[in-house]
Amino acid sequence: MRNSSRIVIFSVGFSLLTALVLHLSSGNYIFIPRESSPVNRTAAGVKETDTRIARLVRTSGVVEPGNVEVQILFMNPLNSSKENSLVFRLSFNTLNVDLKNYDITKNAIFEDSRGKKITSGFKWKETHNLGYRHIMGILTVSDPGEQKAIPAGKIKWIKLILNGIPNISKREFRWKLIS
Amino acid sequence: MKKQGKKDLITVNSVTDTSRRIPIIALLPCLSLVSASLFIYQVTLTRVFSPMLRYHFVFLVTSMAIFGLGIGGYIAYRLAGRKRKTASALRLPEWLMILAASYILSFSLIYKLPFLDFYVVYSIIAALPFLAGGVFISMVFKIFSGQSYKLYFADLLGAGIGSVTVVFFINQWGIVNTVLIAIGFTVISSLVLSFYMLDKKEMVVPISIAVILGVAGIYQPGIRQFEERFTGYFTSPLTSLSTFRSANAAHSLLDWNWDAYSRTDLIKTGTFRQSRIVSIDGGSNSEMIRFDGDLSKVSWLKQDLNYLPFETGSNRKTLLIGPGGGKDILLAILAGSRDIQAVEINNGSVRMAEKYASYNGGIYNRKEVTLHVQDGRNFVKQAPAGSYDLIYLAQVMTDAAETVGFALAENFIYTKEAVKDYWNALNDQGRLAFILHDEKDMTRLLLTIQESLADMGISEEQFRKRLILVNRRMPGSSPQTINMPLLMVRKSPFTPMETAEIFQEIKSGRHTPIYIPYVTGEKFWTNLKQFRDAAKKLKFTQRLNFTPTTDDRPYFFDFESSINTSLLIILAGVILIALLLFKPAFRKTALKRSPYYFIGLGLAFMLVEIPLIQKFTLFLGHPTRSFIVVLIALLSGGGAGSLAGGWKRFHLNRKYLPLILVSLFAPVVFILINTVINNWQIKSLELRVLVSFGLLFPLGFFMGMPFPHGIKTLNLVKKENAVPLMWGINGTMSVGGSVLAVIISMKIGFSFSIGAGALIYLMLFLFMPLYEKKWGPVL
Repeated sequence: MRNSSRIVIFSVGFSLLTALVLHLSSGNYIFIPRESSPVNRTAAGVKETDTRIARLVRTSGVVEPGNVEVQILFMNPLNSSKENSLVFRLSFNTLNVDLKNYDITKNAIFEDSRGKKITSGFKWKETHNLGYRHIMGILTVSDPGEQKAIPAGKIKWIKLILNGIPNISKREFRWKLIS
Repeated sequence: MKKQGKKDLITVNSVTDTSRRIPIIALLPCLSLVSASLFIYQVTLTRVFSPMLRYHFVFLVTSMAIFGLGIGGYIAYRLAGRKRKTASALRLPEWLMILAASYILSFSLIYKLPFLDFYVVYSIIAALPFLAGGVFISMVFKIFSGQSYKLYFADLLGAGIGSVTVVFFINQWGIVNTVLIAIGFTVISSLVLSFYMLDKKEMVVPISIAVILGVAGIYQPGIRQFEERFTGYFTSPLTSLSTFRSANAAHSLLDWNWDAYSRTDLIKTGTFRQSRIVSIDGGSNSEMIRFDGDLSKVSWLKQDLNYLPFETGSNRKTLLIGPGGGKDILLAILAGSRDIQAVEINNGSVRMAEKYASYNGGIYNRKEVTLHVQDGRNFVKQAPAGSYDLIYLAQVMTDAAETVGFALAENFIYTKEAVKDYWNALNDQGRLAFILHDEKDMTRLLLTIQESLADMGISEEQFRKRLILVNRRMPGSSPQTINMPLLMVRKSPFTPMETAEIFQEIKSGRHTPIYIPYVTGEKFWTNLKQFRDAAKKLKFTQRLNFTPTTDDRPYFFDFESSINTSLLIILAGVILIALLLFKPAFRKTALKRSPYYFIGLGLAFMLVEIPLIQKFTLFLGHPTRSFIVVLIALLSGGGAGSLAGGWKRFHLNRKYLPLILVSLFAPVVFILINTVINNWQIKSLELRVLVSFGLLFPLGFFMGMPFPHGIKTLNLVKKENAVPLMWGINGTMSVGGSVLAVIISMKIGFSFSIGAGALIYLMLFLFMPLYEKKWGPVL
């Protein structure tokens, strides 16, 4: 058999096999809503399994005309960062609200069970932007007054408030930290 | 078949690795089938990418994929440059088997891999079959360069067959079966060529592969399951499904259908409890309301701002453009309309509504409703004057990469000429109502209507007395934010009493009036003027483009003043790769001028073809129909022209007459079709198709001649080795030409694109870069 015939057999066989494997590993469209539940209190830097991610997510608003759905993932229990700040991953999804000029660092407020309220010093890093309708990014909170990290393990709950996002002018996201 | 006369046989062993003889009568159908299969795959790719990606990126990815054809020419050139032939050198039928394999691999990866947020990878995967196809076709052109007219005829005929059949295949049998048919065409061609070029023992391989692929294709339950599991789409972050998913909103994909125009999904959600969402190509949504025939159960719809146009006058006869899932029809029925003309361009939405008639009360089949599946603008053009009380368009948007593949689709419903047509179709008290998206499209449409009415002798002051602008109430959003506003214009001016009543209606619905004559004052116009003055002071690239749209430049949703970045990326990519790859064309083959001839042809052909497809949509009433008719006419004309291209009377010393004929015919055809569209009302579709064919076939006839003439000339001067390169340059520049055509059409108009194409043909005629100066008489 000529080498060229072998090349052909290999090419066709490889393509068919790839198609078969990809098909068998694919599935129909199924969506199961995530459930919210309290967050286990863990020190910053401790890794959790991926199945916990859904429990850390808080959602406000829905994707409908004029409204914005905001989802926040409380990252600290998953975050191995040494900075020890509180880290949130946010995603904004909307049909028609232009979020281009929305400055999250000026509209965010952090509160916790100790009565601490932080209104400035937020850092925002955009990680994904699709035409100002679908935005993702990381919001970092540290206490500018104390110049040190917010202590993990001594707080019963934390709250992040976002103001000025269309349809729901004040959105509160609360995480209860249980032992 | 081996007993063919010598005249019909072409000896190939002097220039290829094969020692067999292929009769031209067998080669030409094979070439046609391969060309058809590539065309079918190109359109299928556009359909597959449309729900997954944004439409500009669909254009980018498919353009870069087709670019693979040109690179295939380069590969063929490099392979031909190898001095020693080895047993691993692939022969023509083997390249076709590679092509078949690449269809399977490319399609499976795109369809089944989770969404890749890296479009270069999609471009590369999609380009695989075009690479293999490009190698095959350019090798054929090189080996049989003496028969270039016949080959080009077969090539164009195949593309023509592909353009007709792909729509039928997708509509009848779906996307995956269409790809299987493309594979089938390739495998059949391979078997035919194998019969002439391979030993009997070697035939076992292609026959076995053909049997395996045939058996896999016959198992239809498996094919349907394969098609259902569209992982690339299900995981794309750009779809309505993704929006619901990220909102953590319970939803399910109830049903879907796919045709050559779009993919239509029916989504059940918890967010829209009283309705289901009909989603076209993953993004353009409309509602399907639950309705059992009892109007009192849907009376809540009267609170919707969308209902206001129905409350402001008679609704005896209404025209709804783009009713989608049927909500607009329900509004008209609620308002007591007894004659509803529903014009929907997407047949998939209608099929979905009819399939779920028990849910929506058989909305399209009610006695008040007459359904027309066609382009709304075309329907209005054919409507008798003074017919309607209300013409209603709720967020009608063509946000899709059309089956045209090469061209961004655009409709003609927001142009100045469209406003004139609507105006003509309205009776004296008739209203024209638009539900829009935001401030941008509201501003642009306002300026477009204003300018259009000014052309009809209605001054700005008179226009203000006819206009109602209302913003939608959105809890929590600031009053300054414009959300899905209503823009309504009445043919006769509103009276102060009427607007006072409308104002009360708006207030009771808690919506925000933006402008109501005699009520809200003139602040809106002052603000608009200030906004326009401020916009002029911005840098050009920061400005938004609110210039009124026309039928010559109908890209309503293109708000960018500068050129779209993704289009520039493709153009720059094409030029860069062409410069890198095809350097040898200018150097090693000692051809200094000839490459410019093929560059010019590639650019000019597409600069003429793309605006014609767009423009004929307006005449023929549906983009898919325009796509088929224009391509068949141009390609069959081109095929016939390529057969006649060698006629000596076309040669005038070193000039080639068809070039100047195209440069004259193209603008003439464009002017003629504009004249026909603007002045004639041809109701018969058959006659419109016939007129289109009559206009385009002669143009195609002459457009089909210059390319094979160039190849034939290279053959005559013994430059066959340069043929794959020239074929590649031409293919590459076709992609460049298509991008350029879209850029020119978007920014200055279709007529300029046609003009640019005609100018290039004229320059090619005048300077005739095909012939090198040192060559003596060629023909």
